[in-house]
Amino acid sequence: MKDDYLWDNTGKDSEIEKIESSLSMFRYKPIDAPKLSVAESEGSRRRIWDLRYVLVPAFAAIVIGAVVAGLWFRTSSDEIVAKIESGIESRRPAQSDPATGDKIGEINPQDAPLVSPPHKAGGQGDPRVAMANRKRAIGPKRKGVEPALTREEKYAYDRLMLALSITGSKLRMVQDKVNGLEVEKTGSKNER
Amino acid sequence: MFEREMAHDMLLYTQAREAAPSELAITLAARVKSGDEAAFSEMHRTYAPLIHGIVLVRVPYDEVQDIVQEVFLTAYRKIDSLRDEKALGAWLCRIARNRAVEYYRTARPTEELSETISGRRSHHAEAGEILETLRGLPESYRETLVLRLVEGMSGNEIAEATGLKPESVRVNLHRGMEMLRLRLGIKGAKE
Repeated sequence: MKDDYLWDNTGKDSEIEKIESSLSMFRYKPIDAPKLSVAESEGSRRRIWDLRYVLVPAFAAIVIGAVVAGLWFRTSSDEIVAKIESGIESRRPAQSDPATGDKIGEINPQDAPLVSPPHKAGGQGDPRVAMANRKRAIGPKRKGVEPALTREEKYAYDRLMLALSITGSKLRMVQDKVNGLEVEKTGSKNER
Repeated sequence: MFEREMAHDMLLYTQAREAAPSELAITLAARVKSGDEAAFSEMHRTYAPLIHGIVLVRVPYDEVQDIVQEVFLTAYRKIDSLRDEKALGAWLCRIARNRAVEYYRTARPTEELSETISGRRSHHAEAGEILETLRGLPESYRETLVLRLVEGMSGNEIAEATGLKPESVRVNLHRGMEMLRLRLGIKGAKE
């Protein structure tokens, strides 16, 4: 059938065969691919790096932003804790009572900031002075101390911790993505 | 002798075109994107007959080979703009058509094919006449017919390489062939 020959060379069609024979002189004759210039070769290699030139600064910006945010949060949390402790300290004496055996710097949870201390030594009016005195007194032992927080203070503290954890997870996602893209670029790529 | 040369060319051409399915296109495009120069050579070997036909139907024969090479260089430089790697062939065709248009925009008119081959054997003159008639057909017919009659691609190969539907290719081949027969005055053409 003529249409079959025209479609997939099956069968026979003398007219089409004659036309093909005449036109065969114009058929493509295999030649080598054009030589790529040095610039084009460099461009192809640079193509691999272009993505890195975008991702690396972006990743660096995210890391720096996260570090700054973390420092800001930490500073803010330090200030909040400081305020909390100064608020606590303003209601408690600077030194512990030897009779009770309480360690210096230990805050009795039951003596929450809302409770007025039974004793109040002179010169405790300024919370910052009290805080400074307390810091000098407790020194490194402050690390092991768990300050008693009000409900609002604990909520603020939890929000800070949540923000820091979100920032950390975002950083990990970006890092995984960059590492994954690098692996794909170096290996074979089968996209879509 | 002439027939032997033709058979040899057909063998080389068929070997070059044996495997050009969409999976090959995806793999090739990805490798070229990564800067693999061997993949570029393979892409050239696979798609050069297609691009040759696309260009042949548009520009003088003497300019075809240079333009084909330029098309592949352009494709290599712009490979990152290829979004659908499966459509590598259709994308190359688009570059070829644009390059052919640019040829007429920038170059002074050159000798037409019939003048180029004037004085040669009558066989070449007849071939030139047929090619000129092909070029005068509507674009959708002439491109498909050139790929079939000059480059020897089957209907399915044309469809896969150009991105056209097989049904469209079949219609273009059938109607184009009828129109070609009519214009060439071949016996049996529908009037």
